[in-house]
Amino acid sequence: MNLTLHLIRKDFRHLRLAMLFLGTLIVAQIIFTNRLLTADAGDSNWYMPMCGFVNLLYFLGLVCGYLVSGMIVLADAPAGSVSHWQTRPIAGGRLLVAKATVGVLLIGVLPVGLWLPWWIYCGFGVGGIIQAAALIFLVNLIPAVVGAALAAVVDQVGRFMMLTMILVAALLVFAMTAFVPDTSEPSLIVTRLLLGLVCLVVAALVAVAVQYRTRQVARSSSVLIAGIVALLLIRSWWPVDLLYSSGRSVSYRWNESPVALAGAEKISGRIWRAEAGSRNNKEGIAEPFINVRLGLAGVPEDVFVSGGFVTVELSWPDGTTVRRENLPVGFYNWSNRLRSLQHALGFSAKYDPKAKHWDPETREKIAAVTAEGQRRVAERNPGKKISRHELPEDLDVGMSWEIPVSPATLSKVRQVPPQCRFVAKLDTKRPVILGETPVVEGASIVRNGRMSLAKLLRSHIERSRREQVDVQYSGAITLVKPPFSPDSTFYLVDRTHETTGSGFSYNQFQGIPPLAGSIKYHPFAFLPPSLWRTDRWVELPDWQKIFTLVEEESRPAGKFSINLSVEELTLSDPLEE
Amino acid sequence: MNIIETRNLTHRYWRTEAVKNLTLSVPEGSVMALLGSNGAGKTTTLKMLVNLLRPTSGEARVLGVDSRHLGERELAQLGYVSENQHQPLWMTVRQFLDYCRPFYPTWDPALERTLLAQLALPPERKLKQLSRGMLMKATLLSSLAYRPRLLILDEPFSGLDPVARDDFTAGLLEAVKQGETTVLVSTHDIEEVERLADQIGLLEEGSLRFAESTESLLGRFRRIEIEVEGTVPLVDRPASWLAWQSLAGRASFVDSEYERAATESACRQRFPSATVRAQAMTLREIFIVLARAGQKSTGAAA
Repeated sequence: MNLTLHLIRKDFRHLRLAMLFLGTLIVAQIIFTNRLLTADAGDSNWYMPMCGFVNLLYFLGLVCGYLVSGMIVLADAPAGSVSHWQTRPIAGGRLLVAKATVGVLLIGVLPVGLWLPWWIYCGFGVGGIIQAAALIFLVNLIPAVVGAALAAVVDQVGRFMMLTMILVAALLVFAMTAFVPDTSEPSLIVTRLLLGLVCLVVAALVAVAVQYRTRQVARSSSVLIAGIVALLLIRSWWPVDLLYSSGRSVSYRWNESPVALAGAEKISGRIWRAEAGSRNNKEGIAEPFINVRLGLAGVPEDVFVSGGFVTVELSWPDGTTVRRENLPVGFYNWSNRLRSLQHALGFSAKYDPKAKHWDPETREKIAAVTAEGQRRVAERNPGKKISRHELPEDLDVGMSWEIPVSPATLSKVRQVPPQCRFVAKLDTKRPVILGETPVVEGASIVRNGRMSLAKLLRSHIERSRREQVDVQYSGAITLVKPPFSPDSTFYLVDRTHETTGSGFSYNQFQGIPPLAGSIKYHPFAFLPPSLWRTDRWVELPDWQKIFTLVEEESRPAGKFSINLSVEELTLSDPLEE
Repeated sequence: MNIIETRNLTHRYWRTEAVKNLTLSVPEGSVMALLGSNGAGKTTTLKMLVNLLRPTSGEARVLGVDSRHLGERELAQLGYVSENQHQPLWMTVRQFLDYCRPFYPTWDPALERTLLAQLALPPERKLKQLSRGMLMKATLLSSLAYRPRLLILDEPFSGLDPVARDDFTAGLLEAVKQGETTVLVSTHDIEEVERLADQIGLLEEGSLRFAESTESLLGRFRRIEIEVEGTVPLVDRPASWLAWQSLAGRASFVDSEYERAATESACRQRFPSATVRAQAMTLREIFIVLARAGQKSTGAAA
């Protein structure tokens, strides 16, 4: 143990300049990330290049990690026959442990130690800190392990640099294959990439270990080459999709998780309407679908159904069956979330801000606008019941989704309505209010991350309609959150009258988020809370004294399964895109 | 007891056989010099002995252990000094010694101080700032201070100026004078071998030509000069007569199996009226004769 520590100390003394450089890069990232969090984020001309600069620093850090790990290995090269240690009483295993420790300290502990105060400043919890640390370590590990493996099979820096150049060329070729049209699902592409990287990292780790233990370059090179071949094979042919695409993000595939939603046994539901039809896409090609409207009762008030997977089975009297397994569905819409959000805010359960406004004149106007809307819908759809989109009274929450089907299936559905059965495995989420702050520039909320209302500007806008309010607020929110944690949503909330404002909900970020800092940049523009006065909407005077800005995070609450059958399948005419 | 024993040790670089069926014993307490011209296989042999190279076939036992399984315990009793070995050049001499010290339970700080002074090494200078000779001395010091049972030196004198060579040899002698250290040294430097070695081995094209004590070697080699009346007749010569030269009534050769009575008798048999004189040879002369004989035989074989 003492000798191992002695070896570790020696490498640290040797690599102190490299360590200082790595540390400086990380500190620079932290300083600039902090500047990004608090500075004038409304100026995207400054903000975006600065994001790019921070990412460049991060990329440099990865390159440094690669080179430093190579230097760690080459300081006592396990290949060749000229290394000092090979004729000293230093066992390969002992040296390997020392080198691994130095590597972990440099590419893991050093960055984590330097980022830690920032994470604490940003309000990360223990879980968030562990996740952020794990992510930094894993991302740094990939280039570092590859660097170590290449250095382990050569005995000179020159040869290591030559292999590095070959690696860069190979990476360029590999990157170019990304531009080859790939018809695979995005989640399958990500699955392949992740699995391939896992194979490569494991092979590189094994190669380093084999080289230190046996000093046989042929053996360790074979392991490394096997890893590279596995990466290429998996990248091209891996068939099993372990993830699923949901909008712009890729998530873990739903599985029979033991985390069940508490009270799930009280949930009942039915598909109160299903509609088969087709829609012409931009090329004029019909895309058949079955639109399904699901209603649930008994869902706890504090959660909402966010999505999941559905298995659909259509069966006809002649014995024909069409089955689609585990189709991903998402219900991330406002109306679905409202009830649980109201609950999280502590508002009345059945409150509907559209129907009830505290200002009588405004309430009258809202009622008139709603009636006018219904009238127009009726005009556009003569002979159809307007209420068909409304949820039956026995159901609490409603949601809908579309199942793509083949033209042949649609044709068969049109001829003979099938019996439809669904097995839905659904995820629920619970909105958690992270904090509440006045709507003023510089306001911040620190809980499981740090948000800053970095910019808030009031400006007059040209009205497109005479009634429209002529004021707009714009600016930017900057947000730092632990990796893998749910994104935040922001709301304007009037606690005096128990309403949530609309138009202040941002889940998308712009630009490239600085990778290590995980900072996200949310530019926004919204119309202020307004009142109806005589013939136009006017900005609510002093609304910033009434409204607060609320940060909400939807956390997984559990899963449940439910079997459903269709009560009524209707057919619709083709729709234009 | 032999501290090194090899049996049919062979190493092949692709198709080239660098060492062929080498069977060699080095007795404990001896100083053996491994001689041979460039490419004879000396360095490859030494590298196999310290497990820097794996034998293609055959076996080497060093300190009683198969060389492929030398562990920390054996390596703590073994010193290896080679001009090719990379040292941590970023360290100062003192840092280098501080770094090496903990690995050796038998490290003798007093000997370290003595050798440091004797070899005139600047403790605070970085290894990369040392001359080649100084670097070799620093390496030697780091390999002597723990009084190794076996010290293997690969071409330690090449490129050293006379002063550095003298310092180096003095340091080596200081360490081995107590007879606890066995030394195996490969070198071209015959003068230093004469000062140091009590055993000599000669490698030719990967094969061991001989290995014996210096005394025996010097005893069995003699330069023989013959004077006859008229011209020297053409006669069959034994294989042990090397470097034959004749001119008019004089001839000379080196007898590699010299025994006074037997050699004189063999000469008289071939040259009855000749005057025969035998002269002792230096190791350098013997080595040159053997090297040339080796080259000739290679040429003949080719």
